[in-house]
Amino acid sequence: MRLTLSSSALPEAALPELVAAGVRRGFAGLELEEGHAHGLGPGAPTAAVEAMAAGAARSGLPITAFRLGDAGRAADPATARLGTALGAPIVATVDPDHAAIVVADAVPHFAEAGATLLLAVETGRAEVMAWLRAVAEMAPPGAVGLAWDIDPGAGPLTTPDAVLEAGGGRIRHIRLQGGGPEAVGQVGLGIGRLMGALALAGYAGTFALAPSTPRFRHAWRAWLGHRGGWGCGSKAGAELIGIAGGPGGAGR
Amino acid sequence: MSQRETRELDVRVIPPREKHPTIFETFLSLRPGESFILVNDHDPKPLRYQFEFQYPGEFGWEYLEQGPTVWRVAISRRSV
Repeated sequence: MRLTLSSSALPEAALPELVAAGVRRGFAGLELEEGHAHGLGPGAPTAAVEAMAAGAARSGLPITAFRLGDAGRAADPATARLGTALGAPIVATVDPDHAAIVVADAVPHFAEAGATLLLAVETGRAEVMAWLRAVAEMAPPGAVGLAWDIDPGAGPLTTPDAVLEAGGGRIRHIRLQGGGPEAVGQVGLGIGRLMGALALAGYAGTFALAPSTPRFRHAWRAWLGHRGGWGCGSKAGAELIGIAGGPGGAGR
Repeated sequence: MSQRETRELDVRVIPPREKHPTIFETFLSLRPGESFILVNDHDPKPLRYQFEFQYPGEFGWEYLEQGPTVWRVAISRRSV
């Protein structure tokens, strides 16, 4: 498993700043989100995208996923070309009821470009992941995979092993809203159970951390400016959460 | 890909008070001879002492990476 950093932790940061912050904290990759200050997106010149991706990789933090702001953009041929230039999958958050339409519109472009589209869904239900897997399996091999967005604040994760199993090995990317400076306040939400399930399942994909809400960005900015850990007791982590106003303060 | 390369428990994400219980639950889920890689942001020495106290002779401990930002330890379950 590769722990990666979402650009939503530092949306105002240019790519070199994101890379430096991620390296400082021991991350193994970057999930870029469309619309942030890194400036990459569908339609960006291919040579520039390739150069920036190569520079990030050389600096120790390769771009491992690109997340679209709107799943409809997956049908744009420029989006598939972006995935090829980055050498990373494109992540599109989909409504499960409309996932088949997204796949039908996007797959010809992804298959032609040799890129991969990951259908992302936020769910704690195995049957939803199973449905998305069935949709992904309609596409040519390699063109479509799955991603799993996890918001522990929406409800504790009770059966992560069942959701993983429903993905049938097609889940290549997971994004957790939390962790980092928020971890200390996320007791009892099932994150330990999730990480244990991932370990035992041999999950080998990427696992991105992102702030649960923009309210915590100040804490993330401070946390990413430091290096290393504070130990299991994490007094400093608690102080950072205090700065952000939760969970003892304003919370999420 | 070998089991050692794929079974990773990254505890950097886990709330501090849930870290050790999750690690021990994962260890107890292993069959003798199996292992996982613990990933942490500091040297998990206190954890090793806890292992030695609770499971003397039942575990293997091998550092794969020792900082400065990431520590990786292969923890295996021995036959007893």
